[in-house]
Amino acid sequence: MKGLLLTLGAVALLSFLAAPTLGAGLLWDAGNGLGLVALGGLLHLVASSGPGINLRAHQVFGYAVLAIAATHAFWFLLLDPVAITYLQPGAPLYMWLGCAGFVLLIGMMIVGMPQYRLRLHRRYANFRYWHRLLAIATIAAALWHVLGSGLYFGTWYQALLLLATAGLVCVGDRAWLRSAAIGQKTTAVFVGVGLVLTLSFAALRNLP
Amino acid sequence: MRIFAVGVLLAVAALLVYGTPFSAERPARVPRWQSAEALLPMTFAHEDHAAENCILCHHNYVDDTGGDPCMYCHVTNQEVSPVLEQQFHDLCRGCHEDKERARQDGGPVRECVACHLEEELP
Repeated sequence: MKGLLLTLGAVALLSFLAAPTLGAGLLWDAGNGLGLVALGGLLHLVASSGPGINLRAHQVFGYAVLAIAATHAFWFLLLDPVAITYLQPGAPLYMWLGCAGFVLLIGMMIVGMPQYRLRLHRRYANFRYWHRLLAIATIAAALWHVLGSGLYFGTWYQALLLLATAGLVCVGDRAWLRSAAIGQKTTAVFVGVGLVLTLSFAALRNLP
Repeated sequence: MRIFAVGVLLAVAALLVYGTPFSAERPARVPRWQSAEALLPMTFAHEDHAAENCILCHHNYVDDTGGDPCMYCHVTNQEVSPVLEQQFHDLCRGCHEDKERARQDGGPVRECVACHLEEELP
């Protein structure tokens, strides 16, 4: 659980390093707060994976990350009639990569289900290899999406620190993995802490 | 999970065709200001920017790069029209962000529909 809180906290805190007062309005910042929580959750999914993980808990946590990522995307599409333009030709690369990350996340979950996994990979090690590779591609796309938008991570040192955090979490070490293990209650804590972080993120950036 | 994936695709398709049901505004991408390409509308209120130095935006007052209405040059000139979105986002949004950082009353920072309204630029 400590690992989850550290990852979520690190992502949120890094966004405040350079321009803590920069906000885009309560609703917009809340939507972006959800996106950062989804990124933190995604990083934690990778950090917590390894031999002996609780597969069911890992799967449920993945659904929660997907649900928050979907809420982040549809938040803007539903609230701002112009946001859909960024799903059309001519959209900036960082937006396409945000979509790619979302599609990869859905694809990764579908092929991770036993009925599909066994058809695609006869050996579990083979599945794990590709699942991890796809996860790293998803994180790379999500990081590009966050850094490319340039709003909360607008400086080189924030970008570097976020990349370093992602690298540390993905590569990890045994101590980190122990603190990151996903248990039965982790998903509930993730959703609860994620909502509190989202609201705090939006409120702090829109203080009068 | 398959149902979720199909649901997401259908929802995006519906939004692309019909737009969001939560906003009355439906800014359309159509050719504007004699452009060949479809563009979103843009709105701008001079009275809201009265405190700014004119040449911050009207660069042609000092560099003599054209006298037509600003959008005409920016959508038809082969050199600048490909970077129209980037230039205007950098100029307008960048200035709004700077003011927001300084806790001053600036304009919209990210809310697309706050600027892309049918009330067109002069």
